[in-house]
Amino acid sequence: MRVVVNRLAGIILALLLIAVGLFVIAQTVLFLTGRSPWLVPLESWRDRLAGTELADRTVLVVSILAVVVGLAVLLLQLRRVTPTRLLSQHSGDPDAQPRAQWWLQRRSVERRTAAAAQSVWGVHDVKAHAHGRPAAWELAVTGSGGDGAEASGAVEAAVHRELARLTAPADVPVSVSLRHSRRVV
Amino acid sequence: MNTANRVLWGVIGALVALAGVAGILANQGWLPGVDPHRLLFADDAGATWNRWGAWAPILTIAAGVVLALLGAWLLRAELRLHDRPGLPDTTLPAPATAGEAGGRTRVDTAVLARAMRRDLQSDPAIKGAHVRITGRPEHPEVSVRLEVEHGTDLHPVRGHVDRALDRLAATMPGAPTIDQVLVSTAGGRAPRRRVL
Repeated sequence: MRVVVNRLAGIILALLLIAVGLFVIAQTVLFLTGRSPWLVPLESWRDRLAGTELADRTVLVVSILAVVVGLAVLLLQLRRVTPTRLLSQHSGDPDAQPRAQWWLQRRSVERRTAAAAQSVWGVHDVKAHAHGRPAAWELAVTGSGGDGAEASGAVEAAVHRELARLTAPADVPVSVSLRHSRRVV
Repeated sequence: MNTANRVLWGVIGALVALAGVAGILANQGWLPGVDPHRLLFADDAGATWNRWGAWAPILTIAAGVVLALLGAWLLRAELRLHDRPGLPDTTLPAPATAGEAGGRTRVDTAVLARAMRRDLQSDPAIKGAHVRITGRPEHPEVSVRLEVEHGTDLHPVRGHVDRALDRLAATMPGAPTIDQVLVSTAGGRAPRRRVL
C-alpha cells in the first residue's frame, strides 16, 4: 500500500517539478520581454506577501499545518509495515551461488501454513500471520478448536512441516494460540 | 525504487516539519536574529534583482531548467518497472578456427529468458514462471518469479531451477548466476474445511 502511495506521490511531485520549472522559465522570459505575467496574478501575490509580516497569524497557521503534515509524512515512512516477501533458507551449497536469494511471497506462506494447521483434527478457522523483517520473520497462528496443549503441539508440528516444505529458515519462531470451541467437528 | 521513495518522502516530511517549526519560532519572535516584523517579501527585493543585472534572469531561468530536469529524472525513475536494467543482446565472436569461415553470433537476451521460462515450466509443479536477465555480459544474473501449485515441496523445485540455470549457461557467453527467486503459491484463498 505504502509502496503504491509513495510511487503515485513521486509521480505527482515529478510532474509538479516539471510544471514549476517550465513556469519559472516562461515567467522570466515574459518579464524580460516586458509583458505581464501569464496565468497567475504574480504582482498581486507579491504585493500581498510584501504586506505580510512574519508575526502575522497566517504565517502561524501555515507553519503549524506544515509541522503536522511533515510529521505525518515522516511517521508514515518510518512505520514498519508487514513485508510482502519473506527470505527463505539459503541454498544447500553456500559456495555455489553466494548471492542467490530465495524469497517466499508472504501471502503464500500464510495460506499454506494455515491450511496445514487446519489439517489437524478438530482445528478450524485458522489464520496465519507472518510479521517482522523480511530477513527475520515470525509466524503467528491463531484458530479455534482442539483440546489443550495436545492440539497446539499438533498444529505447531504441522506448521513446521509445511514451513520445511516451503524451504523456510529452520529457526522461524512459530506461535500457536487456539481458542477453545464447543463446536463439534 | 521502493526504498529510495521511502527515503525521499522521509526527507521531504522532515524538511517540511522543520520549516514549520522554523516558521512558528520566527512568528513568535523566538528565533534569534530574525525580526518578527520582517516582511515575507522584502521591500528591497526589487533592488537586489536590479543589482544582479543580467545575472538575475539568467540564474532564474537556470533554476527553472534545473527544476524541470529534476522532475523529468524523477518521473523516469518512478515510471521504471525494474530497479536494474535488463541485459542487452550480446554478440559472440566466432572462435578462430583455421580453415573455417568466421562470423558473429548475436544472442537475443529476451529469447534466452523465454527459453528458460519454458524450461522452468516443464516441471508440473510450476504453474507459471517469469525470467529476467540482468547484469553484465560477462556475468549475467537471472531473476526468477515462480508460481507453484498449492502444497508443492520446494526442495525439488530448487534443484529444477539449478538445472535450468545450467542449461541456460550452455547458451550464454558469461556464466549466469541466480540473483533472486520469488516463489508464490497458486490460488486465491486458503482452502476452507467444510464444517457440517
